[in-house]
Amino acid sequence: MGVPQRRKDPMTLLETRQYDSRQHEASCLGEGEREWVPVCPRAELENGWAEAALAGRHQVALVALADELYAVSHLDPHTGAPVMARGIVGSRKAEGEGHRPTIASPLLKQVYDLQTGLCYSDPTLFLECFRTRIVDDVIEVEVPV
Amino acid sequence: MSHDVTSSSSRSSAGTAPRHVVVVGGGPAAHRLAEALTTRDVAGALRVTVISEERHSPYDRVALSRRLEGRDDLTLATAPWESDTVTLLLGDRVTGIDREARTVTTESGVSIEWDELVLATGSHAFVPPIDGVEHARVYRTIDDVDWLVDEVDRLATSLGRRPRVLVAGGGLLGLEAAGGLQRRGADAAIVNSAGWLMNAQLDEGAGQALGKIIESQGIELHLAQMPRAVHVDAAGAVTSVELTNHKHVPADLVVFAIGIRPRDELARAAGLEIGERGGLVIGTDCRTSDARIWAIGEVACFEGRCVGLVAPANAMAEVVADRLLGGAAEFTSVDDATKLKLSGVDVASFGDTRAELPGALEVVYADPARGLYQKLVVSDDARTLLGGVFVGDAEPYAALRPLLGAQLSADPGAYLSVAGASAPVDDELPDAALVCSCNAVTAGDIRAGIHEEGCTELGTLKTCTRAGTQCGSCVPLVKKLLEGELTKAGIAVNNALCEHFSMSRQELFDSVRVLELTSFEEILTRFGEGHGCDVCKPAIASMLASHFDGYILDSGRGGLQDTNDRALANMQKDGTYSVVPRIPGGEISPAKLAVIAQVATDFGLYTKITGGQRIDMFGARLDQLPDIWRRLVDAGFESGQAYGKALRNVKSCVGSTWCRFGVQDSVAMAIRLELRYRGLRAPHKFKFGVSGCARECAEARAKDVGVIATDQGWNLYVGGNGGFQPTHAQLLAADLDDDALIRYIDRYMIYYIRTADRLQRTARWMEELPGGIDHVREVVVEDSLGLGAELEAAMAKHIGSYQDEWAATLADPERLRRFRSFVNAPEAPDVGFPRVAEREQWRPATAEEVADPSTVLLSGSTIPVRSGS
Repeated sequence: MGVPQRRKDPMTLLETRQYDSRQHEASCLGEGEREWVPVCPRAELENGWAEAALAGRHQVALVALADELYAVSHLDPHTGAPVMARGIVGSRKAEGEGHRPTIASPLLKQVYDLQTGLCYSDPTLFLECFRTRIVDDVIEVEVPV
Repeated sequence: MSHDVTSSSSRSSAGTAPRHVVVVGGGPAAHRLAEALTTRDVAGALRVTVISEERHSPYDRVALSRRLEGRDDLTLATAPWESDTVTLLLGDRVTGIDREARTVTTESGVSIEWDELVLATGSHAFVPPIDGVEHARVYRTIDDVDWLVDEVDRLATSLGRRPRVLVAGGGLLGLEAAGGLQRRGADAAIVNSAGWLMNAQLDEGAGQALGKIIESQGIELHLAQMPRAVHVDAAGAVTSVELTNHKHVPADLVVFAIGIRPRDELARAAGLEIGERGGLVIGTDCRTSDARIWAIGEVACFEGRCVGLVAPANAMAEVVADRLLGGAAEFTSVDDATKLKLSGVDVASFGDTRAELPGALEVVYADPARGLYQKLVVSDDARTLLGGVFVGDAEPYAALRPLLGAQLSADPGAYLSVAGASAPVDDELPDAALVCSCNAVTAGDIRAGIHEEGCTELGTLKTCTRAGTQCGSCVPLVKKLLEGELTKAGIAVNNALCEHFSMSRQELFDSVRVLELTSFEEILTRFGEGHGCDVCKPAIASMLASHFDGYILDSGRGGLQDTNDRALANMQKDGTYSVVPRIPGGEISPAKLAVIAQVATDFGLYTKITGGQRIDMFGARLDQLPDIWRRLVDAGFESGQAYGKALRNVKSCVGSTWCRFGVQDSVAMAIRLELRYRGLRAPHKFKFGVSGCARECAEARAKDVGVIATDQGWNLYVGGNGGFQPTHAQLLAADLDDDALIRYIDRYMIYYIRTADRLQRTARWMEELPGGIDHVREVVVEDSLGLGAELEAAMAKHIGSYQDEWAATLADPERLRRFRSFVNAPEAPDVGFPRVAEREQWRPATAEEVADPSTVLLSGSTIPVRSGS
């Protein structure tokens, strides 16, 4: 952790960016052992206002929308600075895929897909994603052990 | 031109040495020639020396009225003088030409050899030999204008009233001089020999309509009269001017602008052919009777006459440049189109204004009582446009002038805007149509700029084609052409805010205001799609702030805010923030300085003085911001809004309180303005400046709103900025008292906030506004749209609801929650900000320093070293 994440072959990913839940699962599932970590009550989050959270040894950015919940790395892939939770949440229209949820880096405004971590403005960048779930109104994030 | 074997060895003995071109005169024609030669002579075939008797670097004489009204810097682009191959000699006058030796000698005794000589000596103002005329002045150079302005100020002080200025001459220059001096605080009167004004360009009906407008500005007219004598008192001060009807008109200052005469004395002495009414006779190649001597500009006599306009001067300069480089360009015709550059007076004419061509018909709309007159001159079948005259409303001028000689697609009457018609829009300008006559830019050139150079914005299009960069009268047409071409190319002028909103910022702003929408969700549901983005969310946050004020992070508006607004602080590259307390006018007590010093010390912050006379403290973590601000607010500071698209600061000089030269208390005014407009959000950040005298130490003309003290009050400048594309602010109004100053600033700022595009600074906004500064003056000063009271009320509402955002944050625990570092560990410090020491302060460690284990990474008292290792 602490090193900006880069995918080796981002172009391939871009070309096959056909969203389905399995792909979201895939981009959130890295190699190695993972664990679910409880983070905070769902009620702590305001829709559209990202928050940073500590999940194990990871700094994650939590994003709540009306009925969606995302967790991505808090570290800006371009600079490594811990700022992603301070970015603006929004959406990007993709061909045949409707409006996809996004977050923009607050530093230089690269826009990332919250579901796949792919960057719309610079295909060499990738934002690490984590799976989330709500258990008894508490948000849990799955992170590498 | 081939090498001349007889030329002396010191000149250019070998064919490879550059030939020496000497240009006599340093006006716009000489400037254009030097510019054309430096850009086109890539092979280095020529070396150029320009000799000007004026002390000023060549300036835009056409714009003298701007100097008169606003002390504008008229200096033309200095790039030609920075070229290695060009020498500019200022303040020296050529006194003789030796055609045999091919030299010129100057007043200072220098002798300069030439291979090619270009005479660009221009004209002098004609002054008739009447009694006392030595006490009169002329309106011709920057020095003349500056002297007149100073003299009006001096007379106002010594007489204790508005000085009376009599201007002899009712042509373009006379009207500009009279109107400009009237605005500078004089009572002006005009004497004109003809029975109406601008008789060289206008027919009687148009001239009379113009007379109505001029009289309505308080300028007295004496028509069909000439000055007979200038009377002075025993001390030599002017008292009155006697006219040919023996009437005495009281005057303290007399200015002659009755005509110009070519400065052909050098050429006469050198034996060159001179025209019947003066001027150096040239052919279409711009050569004089000596093949090595050329003439350009007002001194050149082409087809029997000399013309005092910049467009033909520029064209001649281009011809000579081309010829000197071996080309065969020809000067063929003189474009007589003119437009009066006097604010509040619209006059323009072109072509055959008096319908003198055989069979020419006139289509006239005249309403002399309202000062309106429009006339088109057309061929006998009413199809071909031959000329036009516009007074009081010159709106059709820009679109019609390029159609000179072309077929009109509709009945001529349809083009007269005062008759209630709006001009047919489907007249496609032929590529050859001249759009910008000052710089000879055709419609084809503009289309090439759009399609080949990719200039799809007005600003870049002007720069790349040069259209509209001199007198500016064609800018509306250039804009129309641009929009037309983009629409045709399917690049439909896209004003959409972003993919979520198809409306422009202004449309959305008005809709939000009219429908009283108060949340992003409402606005999105009504006008947008998707979930918004980092473009539309901050733009809408700004609109909501403009309409409803209130705390910017409440009511669901927190997530809309851009990076800095979101934390009420400025995020830096490592994710920490900087903090800038407001220091109004840059005035701060030692005790408050000590507070800042102590806070920065306690929190380990790096401090730097900003460009805006404030102090920036860097390196604060998000969770530290409330603690830092509690200390600052307790000590009497408030947010400086350095994070907002809002008023940043009002920069001031020390002013009359301390300064030997200051004439007004600039610090007090700066503080008053800063406290009035603090917290005001706009499409872009904006800055003010207030200078206590004309020395302008506060650099107010580099600000969006610049205020400069005068003996009588304040001059108000608007639309300046530094940054990526620096622009000087332009004079909006002169000699205002405090109340008028504030009233105009109120109106200006709200008008800008309501109509500008997203992230558009005031300078770019005014560039894009049809009419530019003149339009702004009409709205703000003359209240032509009747919006004045509404704009002032909007500002009053903002001022009434202002609250310090940081005091408001500290007072509310719910708001403080936004500054927690981690939602599940609010007390745990944000982590990962390694620091190194440099020049006695902390700075962020570079990536290399972090990676290098030998680097000493330090931390301040509360800053932990890097995490995760």
